[in-house]
Amino acid sequence: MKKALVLLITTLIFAGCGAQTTENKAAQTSKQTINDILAEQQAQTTTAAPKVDYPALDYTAEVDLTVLNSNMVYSTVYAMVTAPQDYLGKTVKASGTFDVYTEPETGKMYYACIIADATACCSQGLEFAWKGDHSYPADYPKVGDVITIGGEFETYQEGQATYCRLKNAELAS
Amino acid sequence: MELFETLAYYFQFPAVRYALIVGVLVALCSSLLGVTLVLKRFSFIGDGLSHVAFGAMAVATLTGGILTQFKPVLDSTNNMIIIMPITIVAAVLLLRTGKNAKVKGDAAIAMISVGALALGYLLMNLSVFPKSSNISGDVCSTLFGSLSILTLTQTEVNICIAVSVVVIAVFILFYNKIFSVTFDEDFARATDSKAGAYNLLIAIIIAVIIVISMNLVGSLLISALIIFPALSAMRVLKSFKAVTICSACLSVFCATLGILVSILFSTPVGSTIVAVDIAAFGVFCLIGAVKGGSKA
Repeated sequence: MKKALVLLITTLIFAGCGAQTTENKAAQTSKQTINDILAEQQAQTTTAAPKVDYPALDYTAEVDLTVLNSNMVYSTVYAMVTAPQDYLGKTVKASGTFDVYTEPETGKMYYACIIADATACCSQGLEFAWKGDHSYPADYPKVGDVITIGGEFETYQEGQATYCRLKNAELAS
Repeated sequence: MELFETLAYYFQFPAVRYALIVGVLVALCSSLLGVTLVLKRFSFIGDGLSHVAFGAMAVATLTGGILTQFKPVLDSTNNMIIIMPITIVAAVLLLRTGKNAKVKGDAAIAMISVGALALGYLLMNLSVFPKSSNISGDVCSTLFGSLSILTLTQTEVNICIAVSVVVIAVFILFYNKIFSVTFDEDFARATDSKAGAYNLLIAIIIAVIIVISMNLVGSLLISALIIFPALSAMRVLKSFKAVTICSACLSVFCATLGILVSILFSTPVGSTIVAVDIAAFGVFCLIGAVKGGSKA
């Protein structure tokens, strides 16, 4: 069951492919040309998916994912997960959306920053351990809220598996 | 200027350097055999074999998944050990299909192509994998090569370099034989008892190229990497040697440009490379038309 944690923490997760469809108003506007309708639909799609502004976090990191484009973020997080030894002890900063996973057997909670997908296909997540005493859900952001985190990269063992996370993490939401 | 600074910054990441090395090598290897395949009317064999490689990858993943449950140490099993032989066998079978075969060449390719694709996806969705596994993401990446080239490890790069050196060496050493088998197989068979062996050699090289190309452009787009440079070169040049050299140079240029563009502008790597190949084909068509047109 612990493997299910992979969903949030160390592997790619499926986020669904395909653009959001827009309502077809062609029937109501019979005098419009195809180009007019396409332009209108494109405008609607653009306004439906505004650019996300991630909260600023005053944290200087050796690996700053917030300044990389989505391809490079994907590549770097993949490298962190598959070759964690190269990143141990380094400070990492990342932006994404907040998510939480509860292990059904133990009830233990894991918090993660889901990083925006690179090609409208996959997303990646980084587990983090927030510095200080915080209780869920009172102190934490809501699931899906945009956050920026910064912390020290480490690996830890649970059962037979090794997992990655950012410890002593700072969080801005 | 800002673009160059960004590019210079990104080149500090090993993944970007690996991507460029592998991209150039794969593009070079695939273009060399592309000319032969186009002239032998086997343009679509790349597509069929890439689907076989996808199916083989699913088998390898499934096998790895099952074995890992018994022995975690087998987690590091290299999929290449399974993918490569299956693809080579399929390539040999497809290229050896004779005129008297019950299933003709194009039908055989189509049958193997869709069959392997369907079985591959079916196997990938078997319950041996945890429900949280990113099957769709993996399939998407494998089929379209969205970003897999930016996730290469040092070992994978070394394997690609070794395989590429072997492929290029074999092509240069057997250039004359490949040339004769390409243009007139019947004549080659009549004059050289080893013509069948050279055909087998071509089949093996094609399979090897297909497997290493999967990381660059994905299964569905490999054909573009093989065909477009060759067809572009054929628009303006006529001799086999000139077309092969031009095709190789063009393929390397397009792959390099495609990778750089995708890194800078966050576009999917595989489809960006293919888009550059298509643009280059258009340019070469124009040049060919201006020159009076050369018929491939």
